[in-house]
Amino acid sequence: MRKVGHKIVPLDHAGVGIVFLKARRILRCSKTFAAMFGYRLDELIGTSTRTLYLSQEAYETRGREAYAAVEAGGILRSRRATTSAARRLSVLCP
Amino acid sequence: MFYAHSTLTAVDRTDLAKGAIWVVQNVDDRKRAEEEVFRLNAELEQRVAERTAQLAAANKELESFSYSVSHDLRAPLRAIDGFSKILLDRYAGKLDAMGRDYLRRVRAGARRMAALIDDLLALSRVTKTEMRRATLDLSELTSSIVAELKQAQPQRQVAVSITPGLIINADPSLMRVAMENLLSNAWKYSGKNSEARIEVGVVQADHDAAYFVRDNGVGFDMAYADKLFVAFQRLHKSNEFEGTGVGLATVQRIVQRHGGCAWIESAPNQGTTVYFTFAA
Repeated sequence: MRKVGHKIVPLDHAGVGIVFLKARRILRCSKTFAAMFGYRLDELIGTSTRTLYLSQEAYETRGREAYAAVEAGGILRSRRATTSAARRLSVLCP
Repeated sequence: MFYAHSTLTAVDRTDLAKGAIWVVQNVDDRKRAEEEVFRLNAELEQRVAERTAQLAAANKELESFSYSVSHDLRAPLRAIDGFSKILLDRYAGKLDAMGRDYLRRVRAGARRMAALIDDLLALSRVTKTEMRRATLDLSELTSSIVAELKQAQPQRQVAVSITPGLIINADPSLMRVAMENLLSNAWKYSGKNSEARIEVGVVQADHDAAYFVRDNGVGFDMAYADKLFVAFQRLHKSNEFEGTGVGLATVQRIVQRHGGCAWIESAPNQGTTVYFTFAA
């Protein structure tokens, strides 16, 4: 269990990957999330989500989409196929 | 590669830079299950389409076979009937009473077979004919068929009641065949009743209008009702009531071609009612 503000959130639960981001940098994440993309937990903490993109262009495009969606309503939902075997995430990451 | 659902929620809705929570759910199993269901459905549809096409082809082949056989049977039958007649006309004097009786039986058999062939061909035509629906006054059609029946047997006293204004959307020539069959059955099977009655009308059955032809004739035991819509099945002996047993099978095919269904209510000596519906 990890504390986030005043709340306690179970990070490693039920196969759902959870990540806390600030300025597109990974503050904390669940082991499940790291495992989903082929990383160990300590490899991801503190890194930019850029690590997970195939290209700088994809990283920037996805970032613009995320900011636009959050400005519009605060939540961005997506459903798409992604790549984990090569320890890379093509287009999914915020 | 895997499939995921992903949700990004800003801590502060006005500023993503202040932080966000990103939740990713691996839905690979669900996605693969969906793909499998989709694949199985597509495969099933393909198999159904193939089987339907095979059945349609087999049906068509069977119908044309039945048509050709019926058609080709007519020629030798004409010869049997024709030469039997010549024998009776020219050589009756050379035959004893038993010989003449045998020949008469040959001719009666030939006529009966001719009637069966005619009905078989009619049944085949009902299936093959292209259907053209139109607005049709069933009451008027019924009246004209009843008039023909009365003309053919003017000695019969039959009280006929027809609900006026029965307007349907159906193929006029096929409906004439169906109503001729139903009304001639009602006419025939009420023949032994001195106060014969035939009624044509409509009732509401579930959500559909069910048209009916009712008589107060001999009726039959409903235990044998499943035989009635099958060609050449008869519940009454030929010496009691003439017929080939194709009429109701023909009616059912016509009704089915209109997307409807037909059913019967009857009891021995209490008459028969045949109901039929149409798809709109």
